[in-house]
Amino acid sequence: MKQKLDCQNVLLDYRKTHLKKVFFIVLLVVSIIVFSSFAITVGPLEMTTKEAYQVVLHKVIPNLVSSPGECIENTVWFVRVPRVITSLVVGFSLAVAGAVMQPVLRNPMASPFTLGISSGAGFGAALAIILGKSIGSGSYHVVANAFFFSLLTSFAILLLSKRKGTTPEMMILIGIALSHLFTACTTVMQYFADSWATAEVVFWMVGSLSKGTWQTLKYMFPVALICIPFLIIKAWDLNSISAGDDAAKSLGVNVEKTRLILMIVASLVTSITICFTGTIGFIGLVAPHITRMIGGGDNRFVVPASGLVGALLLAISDIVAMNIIPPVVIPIGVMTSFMGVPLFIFLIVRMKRGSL
Amino acid sequence: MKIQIKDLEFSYSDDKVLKGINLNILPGECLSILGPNGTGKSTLIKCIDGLLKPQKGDIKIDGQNIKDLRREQIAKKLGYVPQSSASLFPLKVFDMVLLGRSPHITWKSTKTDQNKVLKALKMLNIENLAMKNFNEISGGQQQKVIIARALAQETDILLLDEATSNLDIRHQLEVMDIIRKLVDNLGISAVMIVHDLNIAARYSDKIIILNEGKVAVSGKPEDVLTKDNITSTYGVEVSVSKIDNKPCIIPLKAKYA
Repeated sequence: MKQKLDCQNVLLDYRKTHLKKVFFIVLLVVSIIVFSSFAITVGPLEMTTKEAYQVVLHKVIPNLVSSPGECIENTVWFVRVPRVITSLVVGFSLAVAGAVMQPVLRNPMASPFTLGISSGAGFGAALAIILGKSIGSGSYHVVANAFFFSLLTSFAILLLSKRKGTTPEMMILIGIALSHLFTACTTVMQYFADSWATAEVVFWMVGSLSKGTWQTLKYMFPVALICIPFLIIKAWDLNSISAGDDAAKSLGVNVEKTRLILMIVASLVTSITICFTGTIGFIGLVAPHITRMIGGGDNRFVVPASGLVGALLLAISDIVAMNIIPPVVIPIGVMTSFMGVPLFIFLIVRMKRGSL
Repeated sequence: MKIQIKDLEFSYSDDKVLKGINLNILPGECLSILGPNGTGKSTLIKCIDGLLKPQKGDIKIDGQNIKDLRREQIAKKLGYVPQSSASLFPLKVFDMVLLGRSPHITWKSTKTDQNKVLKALKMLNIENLAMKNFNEISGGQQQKVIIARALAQETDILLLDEATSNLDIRHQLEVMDIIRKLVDNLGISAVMIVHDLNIAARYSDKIIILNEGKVAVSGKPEDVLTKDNITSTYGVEVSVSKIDNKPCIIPLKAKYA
């Protein structure tokens, strides 16, 4: 009888931790809603909170309320709202990409940025800005190049490491090597370029959400919408892969194939976001770790929850970046590091042994 | 389920490890693989589970060649307990064992799966570890968790690579009792690599000794574990007596040529 009771307790405990995770996710969603709603009411242009929400209501249900004036309407609907949504999509995407890459490469330091995907994007952008060479044209010439070269980097990593059986170590080493190569190429171009072009490359690289418009969301959002659910569905396999390749295989996972597909999808999500925003580095590394420290390492939880953590972190960073010393907007990449690093270090120091 | 191994050869780059292994494993049989270090015991187990691809020879499970099976098909037939395990990220023991249900589920674990995990934990007497972080329990406990994972996998064949080597004598016997029970009651087969000759003698139906990539001797424990066989394969002098009608080996000294 007692033993039966014990077993009931185990299941109860298990479900309790599950509930805790659900609660954490709900908390994140609520915070995201609160901060995003707040974000559209603040900015350089003076307006009341009521006016800001009036615009949103007016746009969503046209005849319900009247518009508070064209200037406010344009600012809120064409600048602030898309910017907030961009910050959420970008934060979510980069965090999920990091959350997937870390177990796939079995390395806690893996992220889209340690792998050189962002250096590839930076190189592509520099090529377009300084030399004017781009595979795209018009207003997208920088974006198209950044996208192309970041994807090129990931495929180079995958193809080169394939010769050695696509092991995580191989991927990381090749990624880091390529990262240095692209950084060197970018530096050389900057060295010989005009100062304005060099500055522009620097501006691109530190990352900015100001290019987030309804237009760019049209590209970013669908890719995220297809790729991210796929990555979340595959989270169970990530648990097996974390336990080692042989263990995962014996549990029925086709490890090489899964690793390849997950890397491709995670790279795609990364490329489509950073080509519009520049390199917002830290989120992809830090959001998954913060999530694990709070809720444990079960990837079925970590993948979606770090997406939410990333979105929240980026949204808050952007509010602070825009409003801390107005009218100057601090680059968002810098801001995420300022906000994320102290939190990250605090959690690492406080963390129990063996729970990284 | 029946395993047939025919003319199996395997090399790591230039180093030929398995040099023509022939072996049949019957349903409801507990087979121990013995042999000195570096004779290819783990390699053989990994070949059986399809983790390594042999250069020559065939492995058939119930007549089906392992080459023609997909990973998840193999995972439903064979459970594998590796020599050592670690999880990179913190995973609860319960979730670690739940991984054993992987071949049967894709994303959402049902109540049935959770109950099966619990049953496996109970069988190994480790349900009190369920909510612990896998990386924070002892090596012996980890080994039991991985065995529980293989049990939760509900396969007809268990492959155990030194599954009890990290355990103290009490836990060794406990685990061996469980495996013996599974073999006797459920008719599953167990293939295990064992270093302790006496454990092998007490618990196996059949023993093979691998030496230099070949099956040196095979048969019932009392036929295999003789003084001469042990001396010729391990290079040690032993004294063999009998307790409960099973051979009992006392090592005397290493033999130098």
